[in-house]
Amino acid sequence: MRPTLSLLALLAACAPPPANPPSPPDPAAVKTAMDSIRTEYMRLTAAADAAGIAALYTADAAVDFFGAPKMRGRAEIEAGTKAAYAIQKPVRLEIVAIQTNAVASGVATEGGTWHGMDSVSGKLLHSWGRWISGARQDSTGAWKLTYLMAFPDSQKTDK
Amino acid sequence: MRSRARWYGVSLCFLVAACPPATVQQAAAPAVDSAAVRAGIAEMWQRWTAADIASDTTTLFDVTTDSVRVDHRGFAPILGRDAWRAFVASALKQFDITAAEIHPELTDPISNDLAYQIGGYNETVVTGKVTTPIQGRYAAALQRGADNRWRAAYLMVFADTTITPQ
Repeated sequence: MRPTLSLLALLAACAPPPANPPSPPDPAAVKTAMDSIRTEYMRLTAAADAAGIAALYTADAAVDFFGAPKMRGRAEIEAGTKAAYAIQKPVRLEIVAIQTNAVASGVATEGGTWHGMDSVSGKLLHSWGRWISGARQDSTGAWKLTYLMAFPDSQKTDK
Repeated sequence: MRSRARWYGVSLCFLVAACPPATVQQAAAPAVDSAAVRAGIAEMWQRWTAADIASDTTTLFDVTTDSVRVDHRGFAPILGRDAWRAFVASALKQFDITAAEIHPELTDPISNDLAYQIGGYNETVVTGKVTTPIQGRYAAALQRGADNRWRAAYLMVFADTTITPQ
């Protein structure tokens, strides 16, 4: 992932000053938006929808998962997710947010725990771990993930 | 690194240079001096890695904020500076670090006092007669303190490889 100078931001900076200074972040609205992303992430994972997962990210987002190569940019995220699903088919994903931070206007971070259930060679593999994420609100007001890092703490295969 | 998000890096200095003077001044947050933020964080990592190699606990105890949280794969969450100190002290009893490098990949200065960063690290750990090169990845939230020094407020870390010689 490479740093990007947003043309929109540049244009916005050159526009006449707003009548009022930017409003501070609304923690409740941010939490609602992050809840929505997590719910969608869980649904798309259970459906093994790699393209749908990738669409939750900004075009130049980054993903670091333990045991997987770096994924930089939406195309790599989709390809990497698809490759992972080919190895172990997701059955269910439960994501719990422990903390959600409305960092600044249009910027949020989160962290928490996860429990994934995947089908591997016909057996159900449970994984429990931790995650953190970053998200940004785009010019349309939609929130997208900019970063996700996660690792498993423990795993168990059902007999 | 003993223990150890994507964000746009828009240069406000560049924006200011590109724009005509504003005729109306608005109350606004101070411009983010991205170069200064990056330099301060680089100094922090330099301090950190040098302390790793020197087993300098005084410095290592001071590289985090009071309320730091560290999520390091293989360890329980480290919550607060006291827990961080206990972690460092315990680690130093078990092994030495003979080489440590931090490779920031992306830094996003949110303000002059807060930045997010992702990157990689390499270190060489010596336990007894066994030398183990380790490389891994990290994501961090970094804060500048009243003393102008940057510290880790949050870290998530995992090692990608650990190669133990036969």
